[in-house]
Amino acid sequence: MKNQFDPARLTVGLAVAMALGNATGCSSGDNGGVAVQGPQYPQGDGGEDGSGTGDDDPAREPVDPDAEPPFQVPNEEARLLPFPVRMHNLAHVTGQSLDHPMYAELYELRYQLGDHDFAEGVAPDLRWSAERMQYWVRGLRSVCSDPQTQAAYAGLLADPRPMMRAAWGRDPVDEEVEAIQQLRGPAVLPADEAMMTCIAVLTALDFVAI
Amino acid sequence: MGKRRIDSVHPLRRRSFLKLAGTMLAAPAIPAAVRFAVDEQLVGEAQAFGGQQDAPTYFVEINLRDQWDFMHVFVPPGIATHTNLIRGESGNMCSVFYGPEEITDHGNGQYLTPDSAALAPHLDQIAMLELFEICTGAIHGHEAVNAIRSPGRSKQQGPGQSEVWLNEPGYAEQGNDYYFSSTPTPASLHNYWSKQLDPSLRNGVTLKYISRFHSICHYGAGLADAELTRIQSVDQLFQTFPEGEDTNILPTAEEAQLLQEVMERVDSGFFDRYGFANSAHTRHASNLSEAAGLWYGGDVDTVSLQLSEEEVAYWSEGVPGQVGDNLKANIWEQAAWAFKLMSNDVTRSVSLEFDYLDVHDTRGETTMNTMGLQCALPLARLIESFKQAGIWDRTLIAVYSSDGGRAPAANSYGNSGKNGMILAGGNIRGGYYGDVGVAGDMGNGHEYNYSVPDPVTGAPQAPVTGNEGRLSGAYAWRTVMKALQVPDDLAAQYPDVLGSQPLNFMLTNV
Repeated sequence: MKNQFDPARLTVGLAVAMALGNATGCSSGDNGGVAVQGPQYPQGDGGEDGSGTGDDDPAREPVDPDAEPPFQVPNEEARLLPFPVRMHNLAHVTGQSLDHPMYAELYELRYQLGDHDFAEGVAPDLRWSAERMQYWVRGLRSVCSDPQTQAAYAGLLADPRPMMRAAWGRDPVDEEVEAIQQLRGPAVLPADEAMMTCIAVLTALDFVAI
Repeated sequence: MGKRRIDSVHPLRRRSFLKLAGTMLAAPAIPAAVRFAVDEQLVGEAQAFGGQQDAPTYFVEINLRDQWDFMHVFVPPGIATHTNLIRGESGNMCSVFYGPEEITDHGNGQYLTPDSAALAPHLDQIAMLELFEICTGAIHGHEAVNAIRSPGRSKQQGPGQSEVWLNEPGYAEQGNDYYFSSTPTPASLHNYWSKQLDPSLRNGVTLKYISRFHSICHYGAGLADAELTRIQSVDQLFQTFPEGEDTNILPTAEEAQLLQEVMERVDSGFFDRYGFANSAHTRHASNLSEAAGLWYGGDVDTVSLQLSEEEVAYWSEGVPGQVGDNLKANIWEQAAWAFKLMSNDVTRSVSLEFDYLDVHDTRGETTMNTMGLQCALPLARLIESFKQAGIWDRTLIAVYSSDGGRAPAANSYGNSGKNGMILAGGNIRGGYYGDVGVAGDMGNGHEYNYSVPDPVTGAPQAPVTGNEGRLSGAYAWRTVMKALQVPDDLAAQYPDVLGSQPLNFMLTNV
């Protein structure tokens, strides 16, 4: 089946990614504006007891201005989209703006989920680690159990494709649909089936990762 | 073969029961034969014989940055005993600010100052060696890796080497540099090994509380379960280990397990579609497996990281506050949190990251006193606390001058003189190994020399005045792994440590 990208989701994602890159001074070279290098800090080491004296280091080696930076997009680990991008994409899927209370827990966990606060010395951390999966699922519970999300995808259990399509920006393949529908099995409490299905769709790499 | 007694304990209670049993059996008064007999009853003869190999170990990796000077912690014998030492804060004066009458000789080359006197009761299990290969960062040696933490690290990518910095949030070149390596850093490998022994452990953590843009690289070298959780603020730490909450996100273990399986199936096409390496898929599967245990962990104990008034008083007394740009957490707080996490067996690998803002040109008495107290007092209290908790014999604390140490001259940088570590633990043989002394007078102070220990005997060799002849970082790394009881077949598989042996003169478990 041919993949179909959702232009709305793509536009929102790229716009926020580019805005984040500009705002934080991050590299926006080959990776579509996704923050990868972190903040640009003041130059020079400080003097004793914090009395910064600029770059007074005598032994710094010259830097070749034409040298390629030793960075390439890592292919050994899936990396998350920046937190604001994930949140905007989430708002697109649910149809509810980001000031809705359903997102409160995700915002409370924002730094655990890789967001940054340079003023406090917290840089973006976009590894999709086990603990980040933990916090993401924790935050999604209120999103997926919200009546407005459930109303937007009333037929989720019968057919998860509309949510998968909205979240992933493409049509899911049959294998993916079958996998998601495993969550209707006996291991899941009937009352949890819709929420679990929603969580699975919104935890997929196609939704959270680059 | 009889049924193992531990199998009769409910699975959810096994861990806490074994922890209690381990604590009781670790008491010094318990004869080894009794310890073995109880192990044999609990887990069977085969595992009792292998118990030493597979016993859990606890590792606190303390990374001190901006070219930390240990001079007021352990004064090298050659400096401590030199008559007419020219002390002072400028030029070639020696940056030790205590006179001979204040420096105390404890044998084995260990000379303490008033700043480090608290270490005296524990010296038989504290070793120091600060003559490893010098740091190579572009700015007078500053780097975020260090050959003693990742032997073979290089600025040019060699075969089998990968980027060491990729998992560090906000990593920038200045003062850190970009290195490649194939050797995992100590806490990362220990984290991997510990989780092999006990998959229910929480992931190891590193507290990224350096006040500046300087960082510490932790590197799992591609091992799926090795990477530490990076914690960048105190709030993050408390959110990572919440107190007294229901930590179960999903209602049953079955739902957590099923969600893991579903996500593996759903995500399997992602890696092929976007050209990821196979290792990315493997790592993701491993993370999902670990996440399932976090989505539903059962009836688990939580640890309170909030320090009581008594705890604050104990850990903080006499320890100067952090000196830096953007203060994050004091070293005594970090030590206290590390001890709480470990003594409650939440995790077994904790890295601390701390700094004293880089000092140039002059290093005065206040600077040296502060560094001495910030290093020695938390170290002494960690040792004391681990001893009281009954797990000291399975604990290692490694304190690194993570971006190089300093020559004794007040006006010195981390690209000359020293680069070292302090090891303290149940498997450590105490002593100051090697020596630093005075070669003659120079300028307003001295020229200094360095006697690197023989890697087999530990005896100081002929002194040199330059950076030549330092011990390979591989010796430091292998020594740490041996002290942590990481199996040789795991530790020796990395090409840059393969030909090096542990420094057995620093160890008791040889």
